Amino acid sequence: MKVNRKRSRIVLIVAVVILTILAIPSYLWTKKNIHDLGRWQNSRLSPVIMIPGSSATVNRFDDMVKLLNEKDHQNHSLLKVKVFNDGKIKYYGKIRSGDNEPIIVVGFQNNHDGYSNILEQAKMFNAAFKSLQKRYYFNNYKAIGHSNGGLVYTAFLEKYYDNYDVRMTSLMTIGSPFNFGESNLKYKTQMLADFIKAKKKIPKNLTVYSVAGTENYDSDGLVPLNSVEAEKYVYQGQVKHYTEVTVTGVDAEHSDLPQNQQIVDLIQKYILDNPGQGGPVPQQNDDKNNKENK
Amino acid sequence: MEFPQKLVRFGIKTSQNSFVRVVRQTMIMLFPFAALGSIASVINVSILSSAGFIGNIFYITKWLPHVARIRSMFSAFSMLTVKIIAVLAAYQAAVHTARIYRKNIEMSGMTGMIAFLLIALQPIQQQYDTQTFLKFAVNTRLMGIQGLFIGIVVGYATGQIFHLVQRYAEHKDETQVEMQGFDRAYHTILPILITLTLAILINQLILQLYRYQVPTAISAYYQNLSSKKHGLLSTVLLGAWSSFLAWMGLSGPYKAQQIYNSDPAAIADSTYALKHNSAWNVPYKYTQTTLYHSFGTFGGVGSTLALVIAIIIVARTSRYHKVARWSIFPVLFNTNQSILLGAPVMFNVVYLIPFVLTPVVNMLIAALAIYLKIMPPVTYPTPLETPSVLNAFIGTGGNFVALLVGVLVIMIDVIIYTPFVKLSEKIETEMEQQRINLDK
Repeated sequence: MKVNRKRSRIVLIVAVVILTILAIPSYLWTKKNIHDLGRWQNSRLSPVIMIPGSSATVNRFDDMVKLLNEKDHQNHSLLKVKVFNDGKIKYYGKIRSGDNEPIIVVGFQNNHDGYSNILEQAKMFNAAFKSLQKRYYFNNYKAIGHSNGGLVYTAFLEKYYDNYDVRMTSLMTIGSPFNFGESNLKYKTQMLADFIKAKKKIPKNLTVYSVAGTENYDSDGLVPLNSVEAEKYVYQGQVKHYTEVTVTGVDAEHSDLPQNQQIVDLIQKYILDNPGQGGPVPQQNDDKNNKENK
Repeated sequence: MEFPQKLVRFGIKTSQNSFVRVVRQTMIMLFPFAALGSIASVINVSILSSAGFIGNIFYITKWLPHVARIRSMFSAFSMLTVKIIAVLAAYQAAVHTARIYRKNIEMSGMTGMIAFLLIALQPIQQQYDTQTFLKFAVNTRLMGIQGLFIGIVVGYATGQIFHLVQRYAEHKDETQVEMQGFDRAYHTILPILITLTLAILINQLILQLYRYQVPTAISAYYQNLSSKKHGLLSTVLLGAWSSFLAWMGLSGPYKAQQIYNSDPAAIADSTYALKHNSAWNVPYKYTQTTLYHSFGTFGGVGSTLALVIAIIIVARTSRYHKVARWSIFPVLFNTNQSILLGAPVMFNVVYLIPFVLTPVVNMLIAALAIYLKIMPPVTYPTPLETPSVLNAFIGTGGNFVALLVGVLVIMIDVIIYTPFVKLSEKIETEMEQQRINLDK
């Protein structure tokens, strides 16, 4: 009997010692956790994250950013993130401190066309997003995808978006071929069918702008207008607002679209935050801002 | 300490009832599974998962190779031990009931187990063309310790059916039993048929209730209660009620495992605290997260950590010490199945009072400390299966007063539990004495 008691006491003492020791890392952990959470919660950072189309690099939007900065004088900083096939992520440029609306371009080493590559790129984007999130602790962002970039975003929304507590407030797709080169909507590609099948995963509070360019009446020279318009089968009825815009005239050819003056106008008006200007401001976590005003 | 003779006699008397005997035997027999399974569960959740306590503070998932595979092995172990403890209970209860009446114990046990699974069955029938497929799914909420009571009742009822229907008593002699192999099996056909038929009918009844959404309505009602009421009184009452139901092997309005996002008041609090960089003036001060999950369940529901400590300090019987030593590691991480079954605490009238009283006392002490502003409410997120003493410490952002309140609370709980440990031991030794006298 005495042996039993003695053993139990030893076990109890060991337990107390372990608990006492654990208190130290617990303290450090909770301090760090609260610090991180606080940064995230109170973050005013609301970046615009852009994904270029196939065959394009992280430099794809350089001209567009230049035009945007000339227009709204906000001097958005430009950060480029390149994801390599082996999972490595490289950062070029940096976000100026105090810049609440930087532009982040995410590009991929594998920038090929085709459904399987798009799924691959969505996965790579997810890795980049995770890394960005860890680095900058933003709680909302705006998205722009040119060409296949819009498809990558759609795959990301349907597959990975749920994993984050970070809100995409608005998405603009520019000349994104939702039905690839197929101009007849009777023939749905596998990708479009899959996108439609999983559309319920797309967040309901998102605002989507679908921009198409046309050189003639039915194509931007590369992507059929009908393929761009197929986007509505994925987003319409699922998201809060879905708006289609068709741009014609100068620079309406597929690869000119990002530096098309009218599209830059549209981005500035509908996607960026527009401080002090009228016009439709995309909702920036209204509830949080309101609380702060009180 | 001297107990009134009446109390001891009452304790002995109730424990001679056949059902009470079966319950006790069943729980003691489940102890090995509970002990091993809850240790595996702690390793699975607290150490190897990225949401768990040790996993978080030592960043285990970041550096341990093959962590997912190792984790899945521990997860499997706990899944098929503690997480199906109610199924095992049905088997054990049927065996012990059959043994009392000297019926075929192994057949009764198997039948009891199948009957329980039948009752918990949620069959999904699917029609593909001309073929019909039956997929088997069971109500997982009934499998774990929350289904224990139902498991024991089903097992006991099975044993009773064998008692009433099987006109065949077992031989005491082992060789005789082996000789009559076929007869032994043959005579169980009728009780098996009756038990399983009844089980299927009960299952149909339950499915019907589900069709009318009765269980959903009850859980919605509880959900409503636990998520809308954040006052001091309602939190304490709901906490006490949840503890009482847990003592009976049922689940109550407050879940055993705290799910951080399930309590809107807690979310509001943490948002406020993060925004203002301080936890002192949050809108809801007496939430279930602050009071019940941080102080009302020290070492799992019923503050069983204090019971383990009380046993180590005052118990005299070696059985108690063995149970306490096996339980202390999982109980530190709020996983208390082994002590609940090993003592046993559940269905044990002696432990009902401290089991419900300690959480209430703890919650009131914590509420007082918050009211007097010597400790902030527990608002920040804590990892899963954080040892209770550290839970409030972490959840207040490392407030040392909260740690001290935790230590104070555990000491008071030990003091509350101590006389009940002694009483329970006394009843056990007296029973032992009586049995020895009878044998003489």
